[in-house]
Parts: sequence; C-alpha cells; structure tokens
Amino acid sequence: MNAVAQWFRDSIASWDRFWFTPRLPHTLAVIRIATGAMLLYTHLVLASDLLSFLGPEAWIDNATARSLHDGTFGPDDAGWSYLWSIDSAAGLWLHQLLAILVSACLMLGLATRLTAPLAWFIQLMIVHRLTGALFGLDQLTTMLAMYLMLAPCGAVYSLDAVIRRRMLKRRGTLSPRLGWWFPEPRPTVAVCVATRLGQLHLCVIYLFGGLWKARGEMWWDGTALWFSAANYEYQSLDLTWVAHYPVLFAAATHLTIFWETFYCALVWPRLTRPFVLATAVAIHGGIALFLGMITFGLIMIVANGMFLEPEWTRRLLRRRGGGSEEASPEERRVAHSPRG
Amino acid sequence: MPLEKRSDGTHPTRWWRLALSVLIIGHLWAVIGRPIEFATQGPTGPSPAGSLFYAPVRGYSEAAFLNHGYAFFAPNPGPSHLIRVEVPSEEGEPRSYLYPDLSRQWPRLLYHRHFMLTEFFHNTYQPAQIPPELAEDPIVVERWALDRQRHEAIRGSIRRHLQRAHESNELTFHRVEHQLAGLPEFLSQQLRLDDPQLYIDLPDDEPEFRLRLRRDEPTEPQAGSLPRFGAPPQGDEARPMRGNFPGSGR
Repeated sequence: MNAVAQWFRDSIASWDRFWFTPRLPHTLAVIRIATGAMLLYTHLVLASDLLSFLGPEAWIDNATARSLHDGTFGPDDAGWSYLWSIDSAAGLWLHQLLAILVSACLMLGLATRLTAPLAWFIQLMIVHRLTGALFGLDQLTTMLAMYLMLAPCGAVYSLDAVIRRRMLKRRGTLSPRLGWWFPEPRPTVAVCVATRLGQLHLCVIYLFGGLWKARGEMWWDGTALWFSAANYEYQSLDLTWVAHYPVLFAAATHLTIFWETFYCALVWPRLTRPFVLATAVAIHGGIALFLGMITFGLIMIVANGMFLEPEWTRRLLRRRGGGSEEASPEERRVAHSPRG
Repeated sequence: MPLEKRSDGTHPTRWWRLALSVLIIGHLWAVIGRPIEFATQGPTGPSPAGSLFYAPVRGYSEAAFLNHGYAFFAPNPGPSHLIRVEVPSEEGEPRSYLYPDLSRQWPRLLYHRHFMLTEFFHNTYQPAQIPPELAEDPIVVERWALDRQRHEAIRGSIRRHLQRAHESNELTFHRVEHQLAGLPEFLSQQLRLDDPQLYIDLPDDEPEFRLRLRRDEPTEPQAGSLPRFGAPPQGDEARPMRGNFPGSGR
C-alpha cells in the first residue's frame, strides 16, 4: 500500500516538474518572431486576392461558408466567424489591414500582451471563413499563435523589451501593471505550460500523421515518395530524378513513416532528440523545396523549435549577435533575485 | 491572475496547480479527440468508442480549430483534382482555363489556396443520382441527399465566382483528375508529369467508377500478372480518405 502511495506521490511530483518548472522565454520569443512573420505573409498573400476568398462573390461565399458549419448539411459544428456577416469590401479591407498590422506587431514584439491573443483570434476568424482553402500551414500557425499568447513571449528579442529597458533607465523601476505589459525575461511557469502544450500537440500531429500513413500500402512498399514527387501540382523543384534510384526513394519513404510515428517517443530523450530534430529539418526542408509548400515546411521546422532549450537559444543568439555568452545585467539580476 | 504571476520563482500554490492541471488535461483531450475520432473511421462509419471519446470536447475543439485528422499525404499520396473552366468566345472555340495554374496565381501560397479549393470541391462531390444498390437504405439516402445538397451549394458558389471573374454567365466547369504517372511508364515511355493522357474529365452527371473503367481498359493487367513496382494503384486505392470536409484542414 505504501508503495502505491509513494508511486502516486512521485507521479504528482513528476507532473508538477513537467508542467510547472519556471522556464526562460527565449525559445518562445524566437518562435513568436517566426510565427508572426508567417502570419504576416499569409495575410499579405490573402490581401493580394482578398475578395476572391472573403468577398460576397468569393469562391466559397459567405452564405455557403456559414452553411458548411451551421448544420444545414448535417451535424453543425462550433466553428464560427464574424467574417460570415461582412459583405462590404471596405469592411473586409479594414479587417485585413488590422490582421496585417497585428501580425507585424507580433513579429516585432510590440504590445505583445495584446497583439498575441489578438493575432490568434483574428487568425481563428479567418480560418473559419476560409473553409475549403486551408491546409497544414493554417493548422500550425493557429496552433502556435494559441500557445504563444499564453506566455510572455515578448519579454525578449522584442520592441517591448527595448521599451522596458528605456523605461527602466528613465524611472528606475516599473509599476506591477507596466511590468505586466513589458515583462522581464525571467523564467516563468507560463512559458513552461505554453511550451509543453506545443510540444505535446506536435507529438500528436506526428503520431497521427504516421498512423495514417501506416494505413496506406505505398508507405510500406516504398513508393510513396515517388508518387509525392510525381505529383505535378505539388512540384516546385523537379524531384523525378529519384525514379532512377528506387532504393533511395524507398529508404526515404520508410524513414519518413518511422520517424513520424515514433517522433512522440524519440524526441524526449536527450540522446535521440538531436537526430529527431535534424530529421525534421531534413524532411520539412525537402517538402519546402520540392513539394511546393515552402510555408508549410518552414512552419513545421519552427514548431519543432519548441524542443530547443531556452538556455541554448539564449546562448546561441548572444553568440551570433556578437555579444558575450553571459547574461545581460537585467537577466543576471532576475536570475539571482528571490523571484527569479 | 496570469500564470507567470503565480510562479514567483517557486511553484504555484497547490490549488493553482490543480486548477491548471484540469485545464491542461481538458485541452489535451481536445487536441487528441478529433484525430482519434478521425482515425477510427471505417467503411461503415466512425467507431462508436472514438465518437464517444471526442463528444465532450467536440465544441471546444471545433471552435478553437483543433479538429484535424493530420492525415498528410495519407494513407497514400493520391492524384490531384482540378477544375477546368470553359468560357464561350465570339471566335467560336471556347477559352479554357485550368485551376490551379501557377502562371496565373502567384505567389505559391496563393496558388496553393486555389489548389486546396479545387481539392475541396472534388472531395465534397456526391453523384447526382444515388447508385441503385444503395437506394433501398433510407439512412444512406438521407445522407446522400444532404451531401449532394452540400456539393450543389459549393458548386453554385464557385459558379457565381467564376462567372464574375470571367465575365460570362455562359461558362461551364467540371472537375478534372490529374493522375499520377507510374514509375514503369515514367521510365519506359519518358512520360511527362503533365502528359495530356494523365488528365481525365469528371463530369458531374457520370458516376466516377465508369470513367475509371474507361481509362483503365487499355492498360488493364493480364489475368495472372502482377503489378510492377511503382505502378499506380487502380481505382479507389489511389484516393486519399475522405473526411467530412477534407481541404478544410481536417
């Protein structure tokens, strides 16, 4: 009985350690920059043909988009968008301008406490309106924006951090309210929760991606990569030369399904993590280069960044920036304060 | 109170941890619920256990756009589905446009949005007439009627868009399947990926299986012979599994 009680206590302690160990925001800050940039790009591209996708005579018009969610053709779903009610071109353009501004602010880390949740919400409204024109890119950007808004991801590598430093120089200290708007780059539980949710979500994506592939015979006989390369509509760089190297494309096919299915287990141990992440970069880089989905390939690589330790990110960027690997005075102060 | 306010360099209080744990578990349930429901579908419909597992978190999952199956290029990479538009012209020969088209939709992301739309249009297709062998089952008939109405609603929306875009009320359009080149044909015949013989028209009123038979006839393997390595799969094996709204991110 004691053993059971001890196991229970140990499990709770492990759970607490996994979810509630304060964590530095540096990795999430880099993911914020990349996600903001991707959102900005997707909103700009949508703006280039806005009324064909959101207008009253769009490919899928407002009434049809609404009817695909409201139960007209079967069970309804809870997906909802106020864009279903906007027919005015001026209103749509104003909304798109707001989406572009907010995603630019997220990328730059300006008023991140406001712009991160706003970027997620606007993205959510757009994806529920764009039914039929969506793909994996939209799933990933919405997911990343959702987790970023849970954490002070603008605490570093951001305009918020610049403003904070200037205010500190001028005032010496910040009120709790200003401190919340312009957070210091200290380890927090919020960063840990946001990171863990992102990591586990990514594991779910890969696990089911692998399980689905396991239902298809081409992933077993090794021809799936050939048939992906032979898809003319996806092709961006010609990969059909692999036809002359069947062993190569069959091996790459088997590696892909093995890596995808077991990602959720192999990404956690420190021993296997570098190989798993390197494979992610290779496979998604290949998709970006050859299969015409540069945006999707890049955002998957960005999402894999969730598994990079924030300390490692901080050291890497400090070194790349030509600075010392040591922490900044503020980071040192935070790290050594009773709260840090 | 915001999460990080509770950290204070130590753990949040026990009650905060408990409350957060409940929220975390609920969210993770929603993250995994739809993939489980989607993966546990078979030819006869979804598994009752999979549906039951997903039901409590369905609303949250749908509202937060977490409801995806993550079946990328699965179970098999399949052919592409396009839309061909024929616009009557005064010169006599109608002008023909294929969607998506890299030469007219740029950058690549815009092209890909059009590609997803044409795939979506195909994936929501239901034949105009229900096959006679299925017409006896009232549940199947009801489902088919709703699915057909949905396809017609989408078709109507696309028609209105194309009429405005091409400034013609007389235009016609239909689905086109761009089949994948098999490895043997590609190597032996030097077949180009955009060879015209790989495109087959899919008119709205003709059942797809008849079209497939027609195309498959000349190349059907002899009895007793085995398909060669890299030969394209026949019939429905080549097609991705259909969800409720493939192309909408599921």
